[in-house]
Amino acid sequence: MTPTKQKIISAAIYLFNEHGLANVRLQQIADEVGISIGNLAYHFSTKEIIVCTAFEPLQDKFGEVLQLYSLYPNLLDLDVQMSKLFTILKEFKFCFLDLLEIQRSYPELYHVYQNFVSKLGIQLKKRIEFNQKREILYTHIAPHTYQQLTQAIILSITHWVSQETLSGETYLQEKKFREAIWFYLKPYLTEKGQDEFHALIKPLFL
Amino acid sequence: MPFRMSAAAYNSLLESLDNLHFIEKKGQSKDLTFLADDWWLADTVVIEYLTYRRGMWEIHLIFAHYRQPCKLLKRIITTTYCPKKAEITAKLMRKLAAKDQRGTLHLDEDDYGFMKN
Repeated sequence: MTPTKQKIISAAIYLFNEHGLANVRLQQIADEVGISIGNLAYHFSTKEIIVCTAFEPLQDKFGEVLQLYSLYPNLLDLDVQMSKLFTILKEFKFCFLDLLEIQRSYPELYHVYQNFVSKLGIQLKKRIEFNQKREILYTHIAPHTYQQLTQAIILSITHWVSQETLSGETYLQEKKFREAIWFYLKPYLTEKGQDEFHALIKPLFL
Repeated sequence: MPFRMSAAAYNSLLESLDNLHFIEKKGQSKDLTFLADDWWLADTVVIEYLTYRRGMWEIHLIFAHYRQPCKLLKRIITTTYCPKKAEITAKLMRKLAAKDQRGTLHLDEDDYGFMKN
């Protein structure tokens, strides 16, 4: 990608995050970069192309998050993944704020997002099973509890940015996000799990 | 077309990854002793040896330690119908297998200390 194209995409992502996907016009992007609308049209003829190109680095980052599975054989694994995921939430806020808009106007991009979320869901499920085998999470609990827990965590991730924006938070805090995820899992930690949590995860929040 | 994996396949892939944690054990230093066991082969003289057996010329390579000639290893490399081809192949195989490409390692029958009386 040429430096001008890169600048356009960076400006577009910034504007999408600030004003929302639907509210940004090509003229605004051109003004942000400091080029004429004609010059912008030379590089990207439509807004759709800009959105699709802006999605490419996001797709790579989704891949990077999924690659973090099974990096550590303990609870740190989830924390590291959530930390990485938070950088995406922050950098590509618009993707999570304008999900419905993406679904309606850019179904292919929504499919990319959906694919990521479904894989993340499977990873969460498998991670819970793995920690059950390690006796870190309780095994004898009501059926489907962990399934619902996985759903709740995914919901939290998906709507975290919207929730924070609606509650008037202008600055997204990573600590708060990670704490919210651990809040779901903490009640299901066994004694061994609690020890591991206090040894590995708690120091990260101090 | 991007690579797509079904949920079931992805599920079993992660399952296998998780299982590695329970199955895999840390290696021990003795696991690599087989490498050290073969180090003597670096100091061997490679000798080609042809035998005629069941209508075929068998090419053998003998790896003998240049200080302790009785420590040797013999391997059948290949077989061929033509004695001339067997000779050429044996020569090539010897050159290929010899660790000492300059051919400075040498063995002769005196090194074995045979009684000649």
